Parts: sequence; C-alpha cells; structure tokens
Amino acid sequence: MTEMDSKAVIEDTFAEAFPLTVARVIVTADNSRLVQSAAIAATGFASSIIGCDVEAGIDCELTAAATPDGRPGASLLFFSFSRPVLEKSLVNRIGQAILTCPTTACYNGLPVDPEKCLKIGSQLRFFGDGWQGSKKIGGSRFWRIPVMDGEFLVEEQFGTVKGVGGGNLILLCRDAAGGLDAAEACAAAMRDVPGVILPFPHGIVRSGSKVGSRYKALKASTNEAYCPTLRALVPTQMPVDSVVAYEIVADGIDLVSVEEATRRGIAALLGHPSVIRITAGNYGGKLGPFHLYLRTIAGLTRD
Amino acid sequence: MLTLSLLHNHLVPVEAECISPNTLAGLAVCEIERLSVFHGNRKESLADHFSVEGSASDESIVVKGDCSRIKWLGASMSRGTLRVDGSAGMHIGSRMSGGEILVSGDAGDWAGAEMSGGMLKVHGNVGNCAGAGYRGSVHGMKGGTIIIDGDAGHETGAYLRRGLIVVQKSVGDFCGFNALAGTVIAGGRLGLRPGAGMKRASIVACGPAPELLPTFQWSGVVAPQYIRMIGCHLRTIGVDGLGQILFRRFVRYCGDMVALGKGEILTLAP
Repeated sequence: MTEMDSKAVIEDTFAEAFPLTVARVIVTADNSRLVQSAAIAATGFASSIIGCDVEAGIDCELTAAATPDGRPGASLLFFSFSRPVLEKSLVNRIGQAILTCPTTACYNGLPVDPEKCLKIGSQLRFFGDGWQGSKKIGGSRFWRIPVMDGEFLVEEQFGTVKGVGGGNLILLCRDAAGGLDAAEACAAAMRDVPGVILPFPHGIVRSGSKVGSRYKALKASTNEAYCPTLRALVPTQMPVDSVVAYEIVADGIDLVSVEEATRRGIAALLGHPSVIRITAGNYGGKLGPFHLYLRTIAGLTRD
Repeated sequence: MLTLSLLHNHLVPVEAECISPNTLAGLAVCEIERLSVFHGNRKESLADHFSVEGSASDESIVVKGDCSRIKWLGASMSRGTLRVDGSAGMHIGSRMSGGEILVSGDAGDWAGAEMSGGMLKVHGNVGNCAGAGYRGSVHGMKGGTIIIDGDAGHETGAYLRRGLIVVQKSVGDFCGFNALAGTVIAGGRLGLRPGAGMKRASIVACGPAPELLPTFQWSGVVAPQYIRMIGCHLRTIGVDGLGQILFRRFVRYCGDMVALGKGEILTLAP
C-alpha cells in the first residue's frame, strides 16, 4: 500500500541515528528451546544505552546447518558506544546467561580484526580454575571450560564492526487496540531484516523519551509531546483524532539494513487502518550523523 | 601454472627443496631449470630430473610422475598451491607455514613434520612421523591441518604442539607420542601406546577401541562441542570420509599421567 491509498500521513522528517560498536554472538545448544532461553537471558535488560550497558537483541534463529557445531543456534547482536564497555558487558552476559545454560556453546559471528576485537573467551576461561584448555580450529582459538554437563566452548576473540543505532519510527493511531496491532505488525516487518534488532521488549516502545529532564540526575525523561494525557497541558505532537502513540526503535549492523527496516516498517504501517500519522524522533541533527528521511526511504517526494 | 614432469624414476633419492611456490614464483623457466638439487651426494640441476613448462607467477605448481624418491617437496612453503599427481617422497610439506599441498598418491615419512600452517592433503597413505618433530626438536607440528585419506605410520603427531591431523584410516604405534597440544583424529584402528607421554593433546579414536596405557584413566562419557566443530570444519574443506562419527558420544580417558595428565584420548562410546 502507498501513502496515496492509505489514510496515514508520513511526516517530512527524519529519524536521527548514530554509530555504535556491534558484536555478533552465535549461541548454540542441543535444542532450540535451550538456545531461546540462553538468547533471551543474554539479551535481557538491554533496551537502551540510556540506562543499560548495551542494546541487544536476537537477530535471527539459525538452523543446525548454519552454525559452527551443527546444532540449532541463534545470532545475537550487541551494541555499545565503546569496545571496552561492549567487552565487559559480553563477558558478564555470556558468563551469566549462556555459560550457565545447559549444553550451550558460544561463537563469534563477525570477522576478527586483531586491533578491534573483544577478548571474551580469554577472560571467561578463568572460570575453569586451571582445568580449562583450548583448541585452535580453522585459525580461531576456542576455550573449553569444564562444567557440570561436560564442557562450555567459547571462542577467544569476537570481532566488531561499526553499526547504526537509534533508527526509529513513531506511529500515531486513532484507537488503542488498533495502534498496538499496527505497532506489532511494524515491529515484525522491521525485525525480519537480517542484521537488525529491536532492542525494546516486544520491539515496541511506549515510553519515548526526550533528552534531559527538569531533574538534574536524569539524562532522559518522558517525551510529553507524545503523551495523550498531557495534551491539555503541553505543546502536543498528537493530532486531535489520535489516542495512542508508539515508537519502534531499530539498531542495525550497518546503515543499509536500518534503512531497509525503516522502509519495511513504513510499508507495514501504511497498510494499517488505525494509523493516522507516521513520524520519527530526532534531535535536530545534533545527536547523530545518520538522518533517515522517512519520505525519501518510502519512495515519496519530500515537501 | 608451472608443471614439472619427472623424467625418470630414481633409486637414489633426490632432495628438491627448491620445488615450492616461494622459490619458483617469479622465476623464468630457464632459471628454474638451473636450480640445484641433490641426487644422493651429487649436486645437479632441476632440469636433470624434471621437464619444466609454464610459469609459477600464480604460485601454482603441479608435479607429475612417481615422486616417491623426491624429498622435501614444498618444504618451508608459506603460500601458493603445490599439487603432486602421483606419490611424494619424504619430508613433503616439512616446516610449511602456509599454502596448500595436495598429493594424489602416497607420501613418505615426515610428511608435514614441524609444519606451522597451511594444509597438507594426501589422498593415499603416509609413512611414519607425519606432523611429528624431528629428533632433538622440542615441538612437532605447530599449526595447520594434515588430512590423510589412507593410513598413517608410527609416531604420527609425535611432539605435536598445535594443529589438526586427520587420518581417515588406521594409525600406527605411538600416535601423539609426547604431544603437547593439538588434535589427532584416527578414523580407523589406532596402534599401540597412543598418547604415551602426552601432556595436553587430544587423540580421537573413531575406529575400534585401542589398547590404552595404564597411565590413562577413564573420565566419563562426553560429546565435546569442539569435536563437532571439527566435524563441521572438515565438511567445509571437503573432507566427508568420517561422516557423522564426530557427532557421536565418546568415552574420555585422561592422561598421560606420567606427564601432565591434561591430555585426552576419546574412543567411541558403545
């Protein structure tokens, strides 16, 4: 569906995205239930770097044929502003959420540049208390850490690349149930793009934020312009006939994937009867160098 | 591609360390023909034993003929490809650090001895001491991969320090003797005293359960992920001979307790 066929309007604005360092972790286990549990735990509490150490999510599930050890797996993406923070977070998350899960193993999913890599297995190995061993297979070193069901295998080094964080869409909807349905459809469409994660729970944000607060301790606070209950009190961005707004945030392994996710997200929203307006969050171009103009990405002329 | 065709078979071995992409790339045919080889204790030219055609500028060499008396083929090579259409003599790929050697026939003793990288594939059998360390050396093979489709002789992987040796059929006595680390996989029967004196290495016996030294101790039934990984890795490089065996469960024996005891021999679980 195009904008002409839809009743929704795409605002002539842009989503402001910024560069983040990305690592890809391949987790495998004896069955997909264990993979899912480990993946959810490892990517938990990682919605926004405003309050979490990293942003993380499940990129995709992997068939046994696509994993290094021939078992079911999942690809997880982790985003952070710096490599040291990412390294510390991955050591903690793999150590607490993947190592602890039965039968799992953990592999690097990106090319390794020795100067930009994260030392993960080489730190986690100390859990072996001297009983750990290593194997070099196909040019990479893997650490074997004895655990109660056998061994936990983890790759020594993980590669990083510069990815893109903060891609987003805001949808304004005429009814609550329809709005949630539209947001879910949008999130599903964006999540389908390889190399893209939606770091928030269920892929949908109901607490869009602005930079700063009247309280000095807070870096971010509620974006009152999109709060329907404050329309009488603040300058609002919500049309009169809208009752709910949701934001979909996407991080990607590169700009192209985030743009593709945005395009698919817009297409999903245009086809939904509850959506009145599609817009995006930005900070006037001051936050990040990547400006994803919604109308351009949707193939429309800009005003 | 440079093609070297053996002119005649020898009783006395020829030492031809110069047959390596490192040496031959960039040389003209006439320069290659003048390179020195030793025939027994006599210094002769390469042209006395091989006809030379083509160019090695693409770092690709083919050696044709029964070269089972030609020693040191591809020794110390670090790049390129060396293909032997026939059998190769002793020390093929010795101390190589990169590139790929393919032998369609058999190879002699010390194949891939002390190699540190690259790939050596032998379609037939190899002699003794494949991937081993020379007498007096502290380390044997330090990296890379040796794939042997046939049988391997005694002391395969002796003093192994790192790397992977896959023998799709049987392996002789003292496999992994004094090995420090690395992995040897035997698809068939394993000879006497495997892993004697080894510290950390892994020997995987996919054939009949071998007779182990009493200094190896039973340590449970396991399905190590790294063995599965090696199985997947072998598939990616076109080695399918072991099939699904590496994805099964193994009985683990730790040893050798006369050394550090952190090595392991894995035998197929019943």
